[in-house]
Amino acid sequence: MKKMVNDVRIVGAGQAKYSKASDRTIPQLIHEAGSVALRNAGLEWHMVDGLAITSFLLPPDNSATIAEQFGLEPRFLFQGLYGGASGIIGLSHAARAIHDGACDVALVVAADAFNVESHNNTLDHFNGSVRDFMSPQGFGGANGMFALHTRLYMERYGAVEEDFGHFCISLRKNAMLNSNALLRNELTLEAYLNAKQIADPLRLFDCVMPCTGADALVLVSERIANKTRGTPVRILSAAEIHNAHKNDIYSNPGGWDKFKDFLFDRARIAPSELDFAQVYDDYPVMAFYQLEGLGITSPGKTAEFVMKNGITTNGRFPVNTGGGQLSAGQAGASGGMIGLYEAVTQLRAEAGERQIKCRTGVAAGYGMVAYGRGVSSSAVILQRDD
Amino acid sequence: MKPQPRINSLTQPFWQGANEEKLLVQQCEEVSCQRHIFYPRASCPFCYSPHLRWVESIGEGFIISNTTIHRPHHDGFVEECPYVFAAIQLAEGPCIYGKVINAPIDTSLVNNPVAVKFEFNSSKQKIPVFVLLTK
Repeated sequence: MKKMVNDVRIVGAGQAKYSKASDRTIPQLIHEAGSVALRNAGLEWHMVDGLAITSFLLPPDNSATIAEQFGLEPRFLFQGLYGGASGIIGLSHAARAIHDGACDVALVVAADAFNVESHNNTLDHFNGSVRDFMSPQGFGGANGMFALHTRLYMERYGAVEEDFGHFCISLRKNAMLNSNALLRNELTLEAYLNAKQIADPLRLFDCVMPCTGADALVLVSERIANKTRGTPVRILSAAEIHNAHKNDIYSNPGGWDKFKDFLFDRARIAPSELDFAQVYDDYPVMAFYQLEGLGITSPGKTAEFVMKNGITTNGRFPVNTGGGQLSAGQAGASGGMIGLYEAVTQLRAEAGERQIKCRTGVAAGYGMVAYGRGVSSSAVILQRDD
Repeated sequence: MKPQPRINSLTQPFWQGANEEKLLVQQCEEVSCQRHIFYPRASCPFCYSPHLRWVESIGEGFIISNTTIHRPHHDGFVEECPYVFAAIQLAEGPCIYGKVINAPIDTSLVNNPVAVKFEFNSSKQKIPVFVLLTK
C-alpha cells in the first residue's frame, strides 16, 4: 500500500512557554509557538502558506482572521473543532494539502489559556448534550465523566488505584527532565494515594491541571525539506475516527482499536517496532485505553506493562517522554498537540536531557467530550528520515 | 443557581414531562427498529429514521458506572458535595445521567438497580434524579 504522504516532511517543532496564569492572548501564544517552530526549521513567517489552528478560546477569531493578524496569505486553512484529537487531524489534513500541491509550508498549531474555572465554564457549554443532559444533572465536569470510565475499567479488569499511580509517577519522572513542564517535583505513591479526592475514584494527580501554553509543528513539501535545519520526520500513516462504538460508549470510550490495523498496515510496521508512544493523557485511564487500542499493550494489561517494561525515558518503552499533560499541564486544545511536539522533538534528537534512542514512534489524540466520552480519536505514526 | 438546560423545540417534551414527574424518552417508529433513544435526537441513531415518538419510560434501570463528586464543575453544586452521580441504563435501553440521592459515597455501585424521582433544579424546572433499590 502506498504511504499516505510520502512527499511531506515535518521539519520544525516549537512550544510557547507553559504557565499557570492566563497571561497571554491566543494570538500571542500562537505566534510564540509558531516562531519557535519556524526558527527550529530554519524557515520564516513570510514563507508560511498553510495554517492549521486548534484553540477553544480562539473565537470570535478564527484561522482566517489569525492569517490577517499575522500578515499571512495562506492557500490552505484548517480549524480544529475536535478538541484534543484535532492536533493530529490538523497535521494529517495539512499533509494532504501539501501532497496535493495546495501549499508548501504549513504551520500546525494549538494554543489555549485556561484555569480550572474557565475550563469548567467552557465544558459546561461544550455541546448540546453536555449543556442540557449532563451539566444540569451534576456531572462534575471532565473529572466526573472520566471517573465513570476509570471505575468501569477497574471493575472490568480488577485494576486498582496503584496501577494508575505508577503510570502518573513515571510521567512525573519524565517531566522532571523537561523545563517547560509545570509540575516537576517528584511524585511518590504515598502522595498520589493520599491526594485530595476530586471525583471518586479520581484524586488530584489523576486530573490534568488546566494551564496556558501552545505547541506548533512545521510541515513542508519534500523540495523545501532540503533547505531546512535538522533531521526531517516522515508521516508513515495517520488515522481519525469519530463516534466510535456508537450507541455503546461504555464498551470503550475511544476508537483506536477501530483503526489500529489501518494505521499499522499503512505504515508497514507492527506495534512492537515502535520506540515510544505519546498518548493523550487527560486521565490515566484514557492513556491505558490508547495503549491497549493501538495494540501496544493488551486489554487490561497496561499497568502490568508499565511495571515490567518501564515507561520513563530510561524504560524499555518510554511513554509521554515530556511528562504528558498530567505533568506538563493541559493548555486546552494544545493538550492534543503536546504529544506531537514531543514525538517530533524526540525523533529529531533535540530533546536534550530527556532524549531517548528512537527512530519510530506513535502519537495519539482524543477529544470533544460529549454524552459521556470524547467523540474523536486520532493517531499518527512518525519516523525519523535518515 | 445551578446550570439550566436550554429548552428548545426538540427537548421541550422531555422537560415538560419532568415537571409532570414523567420520564420521557424517544422511541423509533420504524417497525423494524422500535429502539428507545436518549438524549433527544432529530433522527434515530440506529436506523436513521426521522420518525420518532415520545414515550414514558418505566423509570427503572441499573447503574452502568458511578462517581462521588467532591469538587463540582459549577458553584451551584458546592453545597451538595460530596454527592453520587451515575450513568444509568434504563430498562428500555438508553443511557441517562443523574444524581443518586440515597447512595453511599466513594464506593462502586455498578449494576445496582435504581428508580427515577424528580427534584427541583430551579423554581420552575424539575429534573430526574435516582434512588437505589435493594438488589
